[in-house]
Amino acid sequence: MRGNNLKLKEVSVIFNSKIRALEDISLELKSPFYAIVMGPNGAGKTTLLKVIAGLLKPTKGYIEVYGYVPHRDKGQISKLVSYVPQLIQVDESIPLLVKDIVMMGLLSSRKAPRIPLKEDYEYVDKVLKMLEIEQCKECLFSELSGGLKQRVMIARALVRRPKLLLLDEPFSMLDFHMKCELAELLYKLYTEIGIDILMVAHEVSPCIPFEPLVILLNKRVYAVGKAHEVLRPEILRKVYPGTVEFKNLIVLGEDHG
Amino acid sequence: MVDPLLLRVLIASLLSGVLVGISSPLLTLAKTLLTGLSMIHNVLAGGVLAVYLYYVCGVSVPMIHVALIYVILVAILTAELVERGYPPDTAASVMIAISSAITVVLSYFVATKSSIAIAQAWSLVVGTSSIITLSDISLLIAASAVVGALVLLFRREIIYIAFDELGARSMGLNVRLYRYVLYTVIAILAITLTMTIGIIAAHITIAAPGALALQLSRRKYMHLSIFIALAIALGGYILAYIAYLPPSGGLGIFAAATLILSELLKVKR
Repeated sequence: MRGNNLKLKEVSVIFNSKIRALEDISLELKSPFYAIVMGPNGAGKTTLLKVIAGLLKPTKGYIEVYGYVPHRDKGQISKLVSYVPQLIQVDESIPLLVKDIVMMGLLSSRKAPRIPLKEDYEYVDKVLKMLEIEQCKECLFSELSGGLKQRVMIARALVRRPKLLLLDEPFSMLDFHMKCELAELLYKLYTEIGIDILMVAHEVSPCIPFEPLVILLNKRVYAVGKAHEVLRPEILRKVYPGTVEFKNLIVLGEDHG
Repeated sequence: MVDPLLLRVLIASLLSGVLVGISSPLLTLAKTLLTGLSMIHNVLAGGVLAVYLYYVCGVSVPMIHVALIYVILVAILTAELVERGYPPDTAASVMIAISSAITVVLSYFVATKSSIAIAQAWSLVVGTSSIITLSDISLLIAASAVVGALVLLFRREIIYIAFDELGARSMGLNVRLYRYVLYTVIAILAITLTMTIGIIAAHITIAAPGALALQLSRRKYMHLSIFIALAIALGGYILAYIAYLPPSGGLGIFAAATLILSELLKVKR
């Protein structure tokens, strides 16, 4: 690692010369961080994660992840950053066993032919145990519940021993109890292993007990701060215009808010 | 004493069964079955290109070499289109359109030079196991070895990319390279089957084993696919031999029977 921060300076992403996904994003996160990016649909949340993961080159601006430029230093970034995509992007009809999915996370950083060694199997077992899914090792991914699937995807990311875990809507398709369990698990990875967490979520409440850093995004960054600083009606209204405030309750102007 | 012709047919069906059995599930999982079937149509353009080079340009290169290079080139171009965001069926259709245009235009020029040249090109795609030669068997052995090695080496990555392409990219897997490998496997499979067992039989055998195996088992589908491919190939040819049918007819009947049987098995379970 050449640096300890995640820095974005005036980053813009424009698709097909007209669709603006991100506009002049400037942001600096100092490691260690446990952060959530929230914003309405089409706010550019996934685009932001893809730019950080090096999957997308910004149209303009500068980005640095632990001292590396993601779209240029792809090799280094793929070692430091693990990306957990949305579950809907995964083709569950492909019959893969949990252990094979997690193993691929480990083997992908090696050159072909990727033949697993004894210690690889042991390490995969260790990670599965840490995430409390060792009993699912021989299961097909499609046979698992939403919460377990999400854990498998996190296990696949963790076996790579990343410094930063990027999660795209990890709470989608989970009930509230599972969301809270997952938020706690991610917090454990942050405090016990020292992994930086940056996740996209529509719902912040499962993470509130862990005092996350909240980034309010709607193509631009509208606010960055602790949850109690950002989740205020006057700030939220800038991004969610239909926000209504009740006593001890804020309803965002979005279906999924 | 076994009829030497029947023996060759059995060997060819065994080899083509193995070849199809190992590659068909990969095509099904990577959602490239349609590409595989369409690739068969590019073989004719390769054959016409070979006769054009010989009769019009005076360049003598064995037809199979020209066709093989052409089909692999088409396969890689198709893969590149997919890599650039085209849906696989659109990419395959674009390449078929180009190949068809090449076939028609070059056929016109070749026809002005020789009356038998086009028939030579067509002979590339109407191969049939009932007149299988030793060189066909050698081709099947070589193709099985190459396809087998590629599938064995890269199966894990290709399936993984089909499962989660974005995740695979983020982990640093060279998705483009693996797509090229997959489409090269498809090209070799298409040309080998077309030349040895014929275009109709190739159509019948290429898709069924993988698709049926995946319907029956989500865990042991590779073994099952090889078994089904062998059953269709051997059963189809034996049926054709006994009932005096064309081989593709025997294969078609056997493939349909296997499909019905697998559906019955599914219902029973």
